[in-house]
Amino acid sequence: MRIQADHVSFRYDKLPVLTDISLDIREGTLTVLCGVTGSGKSTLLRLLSGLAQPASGTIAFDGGQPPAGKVSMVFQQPETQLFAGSVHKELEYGLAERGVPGPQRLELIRSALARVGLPYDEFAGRSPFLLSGGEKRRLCIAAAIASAPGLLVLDEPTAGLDPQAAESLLEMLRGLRRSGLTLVVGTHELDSFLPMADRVIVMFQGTVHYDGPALALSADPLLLTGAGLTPPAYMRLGHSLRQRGLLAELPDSLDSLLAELERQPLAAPAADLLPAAPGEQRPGRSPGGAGRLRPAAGDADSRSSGAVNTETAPAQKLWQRLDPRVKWLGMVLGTLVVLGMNTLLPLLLAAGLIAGLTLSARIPWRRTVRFFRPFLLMFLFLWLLSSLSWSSPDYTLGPVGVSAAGMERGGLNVLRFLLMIALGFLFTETTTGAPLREGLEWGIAPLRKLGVRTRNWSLAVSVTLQFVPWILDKLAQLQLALDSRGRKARGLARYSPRQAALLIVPLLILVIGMGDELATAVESRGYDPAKERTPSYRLSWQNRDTLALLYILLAAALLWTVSRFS
Amino acid sequence: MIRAEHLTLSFRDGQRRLPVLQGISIHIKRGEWVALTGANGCGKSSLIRTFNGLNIPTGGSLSAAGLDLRSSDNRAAVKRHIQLVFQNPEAQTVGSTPFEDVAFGLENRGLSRSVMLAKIEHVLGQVGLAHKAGADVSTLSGGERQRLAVACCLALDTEMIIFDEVTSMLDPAGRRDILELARQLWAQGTTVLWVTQRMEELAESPRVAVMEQGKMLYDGDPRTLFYASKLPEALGWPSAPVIRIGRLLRDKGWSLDSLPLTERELEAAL
Repeated sequence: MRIQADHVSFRYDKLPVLTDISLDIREGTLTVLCGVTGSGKSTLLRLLSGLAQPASGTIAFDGGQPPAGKVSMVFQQPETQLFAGSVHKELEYGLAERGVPGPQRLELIRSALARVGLPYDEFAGRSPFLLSGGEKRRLCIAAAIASAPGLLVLDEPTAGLDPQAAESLLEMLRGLRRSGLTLVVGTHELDSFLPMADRVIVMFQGTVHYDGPALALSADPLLLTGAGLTPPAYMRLGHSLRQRGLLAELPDSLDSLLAELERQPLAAPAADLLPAAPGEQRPGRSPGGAGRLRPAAGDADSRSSGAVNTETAPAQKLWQRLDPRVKWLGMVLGTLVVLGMNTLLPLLLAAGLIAGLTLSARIPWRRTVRFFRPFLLMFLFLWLLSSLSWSSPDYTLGPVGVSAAGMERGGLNVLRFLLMIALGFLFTETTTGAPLREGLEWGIAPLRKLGVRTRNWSLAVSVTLQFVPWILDKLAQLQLALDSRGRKARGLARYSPRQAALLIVPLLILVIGMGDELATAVESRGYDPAKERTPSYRLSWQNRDTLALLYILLAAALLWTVSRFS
Repeated sequence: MIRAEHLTLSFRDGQRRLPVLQGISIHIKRGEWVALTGANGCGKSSLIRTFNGLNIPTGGSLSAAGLDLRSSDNRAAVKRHIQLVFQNPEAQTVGSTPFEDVAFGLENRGLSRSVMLAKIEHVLGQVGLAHKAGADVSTLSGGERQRLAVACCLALDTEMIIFDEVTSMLDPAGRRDILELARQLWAQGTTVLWVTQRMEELAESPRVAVMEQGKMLYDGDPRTLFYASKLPEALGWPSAPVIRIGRLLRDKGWSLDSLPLTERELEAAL
């Protein structure tokens, strides 16, 4: 498939990520896309696979819109994005979503698995979650090529694999390329990928820094270093050997470098030129060639500079300086009052108040949207569900009946839940882990007399709250992964029970894995709840906290009164 | 620093016991830099977790920082001397800012608040994160998170740091930074056990240990490993570019001592 990008730009939250990108990727080629982290590489990959739309400019796939199911993408660490109970079902999901009729699926699944080196008879019935890291990665690629796409986009396909698995994955990709598939690979591993690239695109600060054959990069290392990248070893060595007159031409791969060296006599060096013998300490006690492994200059500057800096914007500061106990109290009291509301008026009043508070805390809009989006859609669904009625519907639509009373009841319930979540969001967004934990520990301290391990509890709560954004991030990644498999469901339908059931297993595996690793990290730092503790954050009650407390009590009393008498 | 003799470790799996470490003997001296490698599932992670007192040895003897790790008190105490930095940058930050994260490990040490604050500021400066002390940890890059994990180790005045494949999930810039930081600390006297699967990181280490299925297959200098043993081939390791050129030189009759392990040595030799 031929892909033409014409003056493409992309913004993320008003921040330009890609500016004026024009590309022409020919059919049946392997294009390597490289660039330092933050150069816009991953965003461009997403645009090229049709999972995101450019803010301006156009991307044409064989001259038009991407034909359904003909563009596939495999994300970084795709092994965390497996959904099904068996290898067969994992591949069948995408085929079914892309409308491939049942009888044709088996043959496609068989052939996709064969192409990635996972024989059907051996693997089809196995659980994807129990495969090795390298096998999981192959399975994800099989899922992406099962629908016979014309373009396969891969983001960091070898990252995190052990060397053997990475090597055999490379061999597999060479095979896919020979079969005529158009491939675009985003990668940092230039040593492995440049020699097999038909063409290289170097990204730098959201623009195309270089676009052409890999060989020209050998001739002019500035094309890579200018974009902050380190040339692969064969280029570096080729260059310095050529300067010494040991090579006639610059090599296009390690193999050609070796072939050229093979032809030379290369006498062993005289004894005084020998490198230090093993075990002998080198100057500066540096293991091996530390000389070429230095942090960037800018980094060294930041390292030496500056005292501890905890500056934030003034409005945020007020919120963050409030004693966590006031905020805890506000949240708990607010939740109780909201729970007691049964009519619309007090709920709307409370909603207005909470919205005002959220605005005053200056929480970035994108964070707020990201946090509420999954809840909103889920609640909308619950609301619709609770308004369904079989016995006494007010309106009917075919076999489905909707009751006004159910709709009202469900709507109030949903609004109540949403407000409680908003209170929690406001609290965690304006309180970092340590104050949150100290405040909670202070509050539950009396329970210690009953034998409750309050320190463990407060730590668990503060760490868990911190990982809510992480979980939401992973959820968004899983949703995107399902989209890339050709899922047709969009918007609200992405949170239907069937879709939610698909997401729950991979999400649970991620969360449990994270919990396990975190527990190990906590233990390895010598955490001991029995020992005396010096808190890094000290609770101190100020006048502004008393004032805030009064406001909270007043607002709670008012809202409660309104909810009683309305 | 670490002395393991015929160390064994097994985990219970229902009725059976799964052997994980099958008689490991290794001696790491204070101030040494040792690289440890092996395929996924060979027992490397279990071994280093045992060094840090997270696993209970099943048999053999193990002493670390002069403490016999067969006793549970010593397994708690050894964490003061030997610290771990893990592979996943996301899964080892307990605090919500770098400041809080370093503070977490110090809270149990019975320090005064002023000493604690000074220490946090000092170690964050050491790893180049002083200017981000109050930043939300979710805004840090993977490399910055790994440096933060190192700061947490340093705050505990640790004598040895075990780096468990810390570069595997980082981009090249992050990889360079953390490796350079580890080398600086080593130059200042910290003992380093560097677990890795990257060939160039092995070749640049003064001593390399290779594990396979719970056993130690090799423990010695990298030159012998890469140029005089059949092990890299037998284990299916793809060779680093310098090593491939070195093998060509070996076949042209160069002596073992003159074969290069790093690009710098290669350039000097040619």
